[in-house]
Amino acid sequence: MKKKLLALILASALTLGLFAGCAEQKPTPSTTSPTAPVPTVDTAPSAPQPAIDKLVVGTTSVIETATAGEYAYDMLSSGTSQMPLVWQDTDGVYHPLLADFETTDGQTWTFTIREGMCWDDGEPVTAEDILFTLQQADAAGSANLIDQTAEDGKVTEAKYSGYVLSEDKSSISLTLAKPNVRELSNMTSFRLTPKHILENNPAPSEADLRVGCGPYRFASFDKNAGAITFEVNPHYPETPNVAKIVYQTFGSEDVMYTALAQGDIDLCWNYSAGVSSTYQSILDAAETVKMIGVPATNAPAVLVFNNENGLFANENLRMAVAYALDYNAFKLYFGSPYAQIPNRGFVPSTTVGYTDTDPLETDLAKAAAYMSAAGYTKEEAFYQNADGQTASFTLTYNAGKPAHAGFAELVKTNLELFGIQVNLEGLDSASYNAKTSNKFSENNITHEAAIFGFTAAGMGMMNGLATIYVDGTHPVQGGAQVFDPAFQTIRDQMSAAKTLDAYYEAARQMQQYYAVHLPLIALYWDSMMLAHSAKLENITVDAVFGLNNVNNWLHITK
Amino acid sequence: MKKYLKSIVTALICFLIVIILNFLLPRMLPGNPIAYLTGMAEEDMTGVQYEYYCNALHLNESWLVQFGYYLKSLVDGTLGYSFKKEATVALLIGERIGATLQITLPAVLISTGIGLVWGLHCGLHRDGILDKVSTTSLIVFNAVPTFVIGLALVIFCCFQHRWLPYTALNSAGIFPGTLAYLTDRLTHLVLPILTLVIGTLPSRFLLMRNTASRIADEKFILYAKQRGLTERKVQFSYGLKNIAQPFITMVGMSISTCIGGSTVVENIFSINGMGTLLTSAVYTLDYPLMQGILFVTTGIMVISIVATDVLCILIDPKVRFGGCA
Repeated sequence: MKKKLLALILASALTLGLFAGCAEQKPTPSTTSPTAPVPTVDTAPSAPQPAIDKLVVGTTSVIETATAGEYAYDMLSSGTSQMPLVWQDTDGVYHPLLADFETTDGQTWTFTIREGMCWDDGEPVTAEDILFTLQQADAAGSANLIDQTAEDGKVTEAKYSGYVLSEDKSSISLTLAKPNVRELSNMTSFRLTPKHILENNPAPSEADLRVGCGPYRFASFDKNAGAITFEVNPHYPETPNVAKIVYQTFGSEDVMYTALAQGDIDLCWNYSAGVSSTYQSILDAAETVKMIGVPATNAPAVLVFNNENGLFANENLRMAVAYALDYNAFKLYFGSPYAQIPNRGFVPSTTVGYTDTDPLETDLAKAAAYMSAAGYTKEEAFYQNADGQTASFTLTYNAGKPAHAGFAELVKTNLELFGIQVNLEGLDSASYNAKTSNKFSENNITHEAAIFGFTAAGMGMMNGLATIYVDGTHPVQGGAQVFDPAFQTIRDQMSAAKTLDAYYEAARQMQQYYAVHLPLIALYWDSMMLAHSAKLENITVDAVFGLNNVNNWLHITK
Repeated sequence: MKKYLKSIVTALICFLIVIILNFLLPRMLPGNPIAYLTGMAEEDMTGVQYEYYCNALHLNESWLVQFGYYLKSLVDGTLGYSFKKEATVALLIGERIGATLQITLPAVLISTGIGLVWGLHCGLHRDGILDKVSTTSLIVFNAVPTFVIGLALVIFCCFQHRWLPYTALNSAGIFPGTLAYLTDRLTHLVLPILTLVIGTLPSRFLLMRNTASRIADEKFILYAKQRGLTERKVQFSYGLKNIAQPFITMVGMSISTCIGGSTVVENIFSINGMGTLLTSAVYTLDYPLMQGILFVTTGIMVISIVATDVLCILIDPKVRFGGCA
């Protein structure tokens, strides 16, 4: 009897524990909306009902607060409530989104808020919100409108030299300190901060930080359910085709893609990432799923030479390596079915200013000729120079990135078969950065050659065409350590271009420079694969945000 | 008494060493510590922002002063500040630990209970049919990784048969505090708990079974059987008391697993618990958060080890009946 009573007490304690656990996880009203739904605004204009009741977007993004300022949430809500100023299609063409734009000289850019744009509390969006957003970023240490001076006296110059607000506050003209014909690339992810809510508001509430100006407004964040819901913003001038967008977070890609194939979710999305190659063939074979291949603007696998010091200061040796690598193997083992062998001009065809250059090719005879020109002859397994030194170098890679380790292994295999010895050096992120980046090495880059992966944003930064990684004087990157005046001249021409035609001409020269001197090599080009339910049609793909974009919800059908 | 003190002092020394290592390791890594906080994605950070992080982390101060700040954060209970997540580490852990305990605690209790009863029975009936079948099958299960168990359960129970949900701790749109919410929560907990139970049961069973099989032919067991005592009485009053120590130690160690969470299970079932928090801290190189989690799990582990040591000493009949305490 005593034991039965004890067992009963234990069972009750366990059940109570579960109840208690539930109680602990009970969401606060401010973060989870089942208890705090956004009230319907009675004054909102009536609009036709959306054709699709709900779409569920699966994502492996980790969302903690679902408020503006949280990076993952910012990227996610850019497709719903925090609409950027402009968007870029997959052909590299920019279109107005929240604002129209114009420039005559690539230096002064005028942005005019489009007719009828309102915050989801009903207040109109104005150009003052653009200015306020820039000023707020400056207050946090950015250098948009004011120079920032560090304690050591180092000055970061302001990006803009001035601005003019129109009288009706519908437009703002921002003058760049230097012309930039590609300034719109920075505006594809420029989201506005509501001045009427956050000005003189040192402690904004969660609700304040969720006010947006897109076709949707934040409805709820249920952390225990891993679901963020957006509903139609009644103040938006157009009615989207979908009434509700629910983002369901997943911890495992396996489960997410299975859920997509089973029809539990409608599409998968992660910022700046497509379906990883492991799952591409599986999803491709599923009848319930459709895949879209978007030519990528990033460079997932790059062999960067140290052009200033070490073995690869010798251009002939860079050429020899370029001809000794098996690009088909890189494409086959690491790329998607849509992967391509890159050109010598390095940047993929979707890049603004792309020009055609010869494709990279494997030709061991040419590689041997370049080794000979560099003063090396083959002795048994490896080439040696006149002093008896073996052609050998250390290839550095970030051991935290398994794919990069794979690239390094294949480079080693290819080159050692040819006759160049490769010592692999896998480092943790911090040590890797300290050898490959000007910023983290304090301008003392020491790698001989390294495996990099360049993001689309990095490729387009400053003058574009991945110049920040090549330029040895770049304050942050500069991994290729190129100090060649010819390179710097072309870089300056790109920087000084006031029209797109002038930029295209300089970009063409830069790609020719890359093709001739090979300061770095793309090991393969790939496409970003996006996956959605086969039931969905009229899909719009945004070059920056993929399937998660405002235009998609406006036109999609099911 | 001497044994208790020795156990407690050893644990305290270990804990102190962990605290010191916890502080030193991130600072001894090569490269600029700012990189650990910013990562390369912060490449357009201005000098002012750089200095902000430098000051906030007290990196301009000596290591001794930095250690003082670190100890202060442990004493005041904040456990440091995560710049990546913009919150104190204690708050982040507090938000997640409930979710983790909801899956790990029942899993530990269930697998311990089943492993104990099943293992004891099979061990004391060595070479019986049940023992042979159980031991063989659980040796096989012991070799199956947890993620395989989890995914197999998801595919079978969720996608093929639609019996149970597979994401998060509850469904969206159900109001907390209602019966529907509790039912929904319980159905969400079934598979994560079952995965952990299947994953941990074999080791507990095998330990108990092997230990019990060693005493199956001991005189005190045979004598108890000869006295006509019930099977249950023989197993629990005579068998278990003499072989409980290694099992208690194993269960004690698993308490820290409860706190640390199960990364694999939390990832498969999309549960925002301690495991995913640690994973995210590692992936984003959020050192303050990693340090905080390590501190908490180490602390709990030390306490549970001391507790199990004391318990083992207490239940040792030699100690209890006047042996060398």
